[in-house]
Amino acid sequence: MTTLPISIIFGGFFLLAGLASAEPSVHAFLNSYCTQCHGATNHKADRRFDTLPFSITTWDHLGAYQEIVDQLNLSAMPPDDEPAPSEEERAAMIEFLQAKIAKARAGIDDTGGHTVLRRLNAWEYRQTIGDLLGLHVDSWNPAADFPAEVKAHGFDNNGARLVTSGMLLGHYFSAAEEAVKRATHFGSRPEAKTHAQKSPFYFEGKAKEGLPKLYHVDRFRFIPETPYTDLYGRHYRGGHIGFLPTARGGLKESGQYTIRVKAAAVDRVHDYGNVLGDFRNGDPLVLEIASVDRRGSVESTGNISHEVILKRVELTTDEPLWIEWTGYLEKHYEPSVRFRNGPIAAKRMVRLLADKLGDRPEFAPHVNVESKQDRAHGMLKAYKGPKLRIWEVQIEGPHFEEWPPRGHRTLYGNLRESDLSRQSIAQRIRAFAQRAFRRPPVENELEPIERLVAAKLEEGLTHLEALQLGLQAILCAPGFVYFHEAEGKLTDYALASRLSYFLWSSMPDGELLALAATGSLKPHLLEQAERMLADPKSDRFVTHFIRRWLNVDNIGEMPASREFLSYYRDNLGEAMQSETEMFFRHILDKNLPPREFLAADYSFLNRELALHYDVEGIEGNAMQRVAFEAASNRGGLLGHGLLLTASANGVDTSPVIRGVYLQENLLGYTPPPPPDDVPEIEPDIRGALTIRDQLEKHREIATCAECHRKIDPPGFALENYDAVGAWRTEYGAKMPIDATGAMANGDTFENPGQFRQLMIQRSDRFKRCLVEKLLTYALGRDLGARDRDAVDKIIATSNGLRDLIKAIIQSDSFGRN
Amino acid sequence: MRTKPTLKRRQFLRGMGVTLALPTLPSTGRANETAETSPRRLVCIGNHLGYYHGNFFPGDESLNSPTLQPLRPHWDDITVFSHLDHRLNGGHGGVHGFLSGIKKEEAAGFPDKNITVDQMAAEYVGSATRYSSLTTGIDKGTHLCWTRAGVSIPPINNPAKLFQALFVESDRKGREVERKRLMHRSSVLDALRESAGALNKTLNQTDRDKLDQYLTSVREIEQRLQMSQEWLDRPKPRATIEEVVDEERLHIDEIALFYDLIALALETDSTRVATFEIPMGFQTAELQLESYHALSHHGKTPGRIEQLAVVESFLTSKLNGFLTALKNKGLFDDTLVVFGSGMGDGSKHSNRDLPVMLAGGGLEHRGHLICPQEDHRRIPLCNLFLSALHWFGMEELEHFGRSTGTFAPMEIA
Repeated sequence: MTTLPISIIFGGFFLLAGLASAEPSVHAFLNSYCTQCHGATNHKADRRFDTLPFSITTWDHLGAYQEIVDQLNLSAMPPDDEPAPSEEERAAMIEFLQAKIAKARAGIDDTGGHTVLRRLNAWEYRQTIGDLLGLHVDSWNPAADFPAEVKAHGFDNNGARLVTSGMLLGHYFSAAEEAVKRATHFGSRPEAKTHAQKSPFYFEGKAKEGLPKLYHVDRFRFIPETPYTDLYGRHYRGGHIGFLPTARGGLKESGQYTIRVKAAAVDRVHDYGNVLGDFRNGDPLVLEIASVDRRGSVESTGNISHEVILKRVELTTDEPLWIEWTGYLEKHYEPSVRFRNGPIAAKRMVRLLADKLGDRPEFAPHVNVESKQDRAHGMLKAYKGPKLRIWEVQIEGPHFEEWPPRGHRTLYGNLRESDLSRQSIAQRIRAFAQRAFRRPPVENELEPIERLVAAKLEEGLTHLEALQLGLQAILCAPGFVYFHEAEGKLTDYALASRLSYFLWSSMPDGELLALAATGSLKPHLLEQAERMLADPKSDRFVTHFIRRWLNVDNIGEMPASREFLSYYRDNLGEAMQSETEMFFRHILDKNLPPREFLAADYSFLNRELALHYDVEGIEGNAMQRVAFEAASNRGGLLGHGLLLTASANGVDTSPVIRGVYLQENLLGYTPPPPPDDVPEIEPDIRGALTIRDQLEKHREIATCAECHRKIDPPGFALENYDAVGAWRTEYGAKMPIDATGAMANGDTFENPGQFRQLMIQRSDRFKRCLVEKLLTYALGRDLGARDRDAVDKIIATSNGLRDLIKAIIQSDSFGRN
Repeated sequence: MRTKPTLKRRQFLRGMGVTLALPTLPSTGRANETAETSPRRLVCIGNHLGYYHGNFFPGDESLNSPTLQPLRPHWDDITVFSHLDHRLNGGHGGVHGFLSGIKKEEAAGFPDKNITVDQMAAEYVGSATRYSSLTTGIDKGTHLCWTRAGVSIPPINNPAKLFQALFVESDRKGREVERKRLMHRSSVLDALRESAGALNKTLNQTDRDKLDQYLTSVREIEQRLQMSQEWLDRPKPRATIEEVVDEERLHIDEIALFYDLIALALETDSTRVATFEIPMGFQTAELQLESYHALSHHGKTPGRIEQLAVVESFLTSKLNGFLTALKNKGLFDDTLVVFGSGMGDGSKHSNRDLPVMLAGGGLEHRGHLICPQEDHRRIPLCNLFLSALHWFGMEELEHFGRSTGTFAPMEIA
């Protein structure tokens, strides 16, 4: 949350309230009810309030005031035998102090419109290394082991809050070493080759030595004497096949490759009932192509240390098709083909078929066969359920757009290894630093690194070793790690970086830096923004902004419980993220107003997500635009699985948590935190009480009611959506869901649809909230009182999302530091 | 003789209102432990979802409760505390404060940020052992351990890697490469410090304060390099168990394996501070139960509470194995084990009344110690941690986290 909204949204409201009842005197209140025990003579429990200043300037004072509010909230203080304030007095004081605390908190956080020396966060570091050195950071994440970033109101790019630690610097060293190594290609261009492997996909005899079991024939996979290999389940054993030509150590080179798989879907419809677990009868069979790194695994398991999912295709016919994928693959990775939505593991399936359906004529002859292998193979041959059938796998590559690759030239220019000399490497160091720092180095910033390289040459390192050490040092230097925004009006270089990290999560490209170098970026700011939003790199903005704005990390920290079978079987997590990203992208590209986020009667779904939403008739694994019917329970962000999952905890939902989530992220209001000592609601799902009954009790306490009156209703409105966003009409124990409620201003709703209408009516608030979130993200700091004019102006002059972003870029807040 | 800790520098700085993160300095280490004294050790074990109160806390002052049954052999050497916590809230978001008393969101307001009790102890040990601390756990753990910089230390989650770190020597060539790398790295650090100095001149005061974090990090790495160099040529101890190979394991097997390795690490004095964390993602399916997180949301349904009891007794039975191992190795009386969780009640997401247990350490144990429950007489859990740190040797430490003093109800230090 930003610090603005309370004052802005409720500014007028508070003013009215202030006129209606005179501001309560804190001093008089404390004197009457508190300082007897917590004053000059007594300071019970080590607390005295007679010296507490009226204005809150330190965290200590803030803590003291917070404690007073907590105690008043609970009616715990003053104790029964002491004079106590009336209920009205108490409530007025709580409200006054809460506003005072919120304002003070904002004041302590306010950095005066200055983004404190901001470091690249892990996400930005990753993209920057990728763009700088032409590395594919989708498959190799240099920041994978970095410590988690500190977040301020959900944002992980807040300069004042980001922490640089020894642990992080240690990781910078290893990442820099590895990045330079990966980008260096003095050798000649590797030749492209084609490897093809027809079924069977296993080794026999000596050839299989030292290879994971995946490549061994066993009784649950690889039935010999067929020209194809059938995959039976989504699980590793019997559900994955590896690729023999690269089985030992993976690909020899990174580069562009094409993978082709000849496959078909056989016997999609079965009559085995629930023996096949959660497989949805008749579903298309999902073929997944992945690239996996098996290094570090042992023979017994062949487990995977890293994997990248490359492609998923839904197959519906038993006619073999060639499925093709082209893209970048890392050295040491190898292709893997899986049956993504396959039924249960082959081993379990054979057992269940024998146990439950063993008397069927097709299985009966095999059930009691002595040889385990013959029995299993016999059962599998007789099995007429879903099978993903694979005939052949091919891989072709590596191809390169250019050789040596771009990153190599960024590091070494056109120098061959034999061209490296004292002079030429000094030149490379300077050229690379300028690029890596996104600006010319300041005085004496680079000299220490130049001296380092010279000294290492003296020590006897080769030219290449010394140069690489210098390049690594540049990637660990503060010039690389930190923004350089200084104070006042941004320089063109600082502006280029701020713009670029806003829209690309990465360093400015050559064009931006060229404009900055000639001091002509400012007049071209808008056309540059247009160019940048049209570049695929702007997808990073969409992805990361959504992640921060809607707190998507919550899903990673509290993943959906395994009890939500379809969530995992159907890759719903990924589909939900794509849905919201495509929706955002659509609004951005079409320059639609923020209201569209709430009011849209369409979304972007694939077959699985559509089924999750109870929408029929959508085919295919690809996300596609789907229009909802008028009576639909979907439409707008409020129906997005991502939002509904991120606002739950993976197991169940809480109207309070969802209510706070909506207030903070869509309406721009941060409710005060619950008092420390209020007992938590104790969920009771045995069936006697609904969550509403339980909360009702809570709200009987007058002081709790005040906040929960605002928080809970939006949460209740979404109770029809479970913890992964599926529609439900009752809780587990047959308790019906009651999604009615009233907003704080008295507007009532009977169901989520009506609630959505009330939210659409609040589009202006939503718009302000969104602009504040975008601006906070763009600036890398909390908004302060000084930004209010900027926000007002942005809102007044623009309406479409793209225009709002351009207005942000042109705002005074964006152009200054 | 226990050497006196020298923490004056840090205290002095704190007195001056300087809040920069100080790295571990050799001067705070206890490098010259004499051979005849047995060093003190601290092990902290935390899980994410807490323990169901109804089964964990005994009804009286004995330790007779379902969850504590598996620990019966050690009942004389255990104290379980009721009504201790940090007054935190936030449910899942409050759990990571278990060993610090402070949530990461508020860490900036405290001079030592949200440093955890194990890392305080680790700083005190310094380079006296090969590893100043070992942080271990299942999967991604539960953010149990935090440094003075306010950064969470991820657990080592692969027992094979831990085994390697403890017992497997790199060959001579590998050590040579490592020595060179350390040497070059130290030159690079010098250059970075100078480069930062040049940049510093162009910044305003707020930004300079921020850049100080970078300089502090440089110093921190320098010291770590020095420690690594010191230990590079000292042989590692010989493993007394079979090599732990890298393979897929069930969580239920990994837990016991980690406890074994921790006990060995302590026995060989490879470290004196170890932690172990059990996440919400602990695969209770391996015990033929519903998912752990779902069970913690029992909502008072008897079926789920029963299953939860199975999980929790499983966890205490593994602890039992660990305590027994410490006794067998003669380490128990010099090792203080902190066991518990930052979650008080998973079903209502409360971080109050945390399950907390101390074991070993040669203390006069007290069974079930019921601390005051009334709001104004409650004792901060940090008081217990402060006393634990005093016991560990840091007698001069005045505060830890939210402590208001040492822990009065029981003699610890």
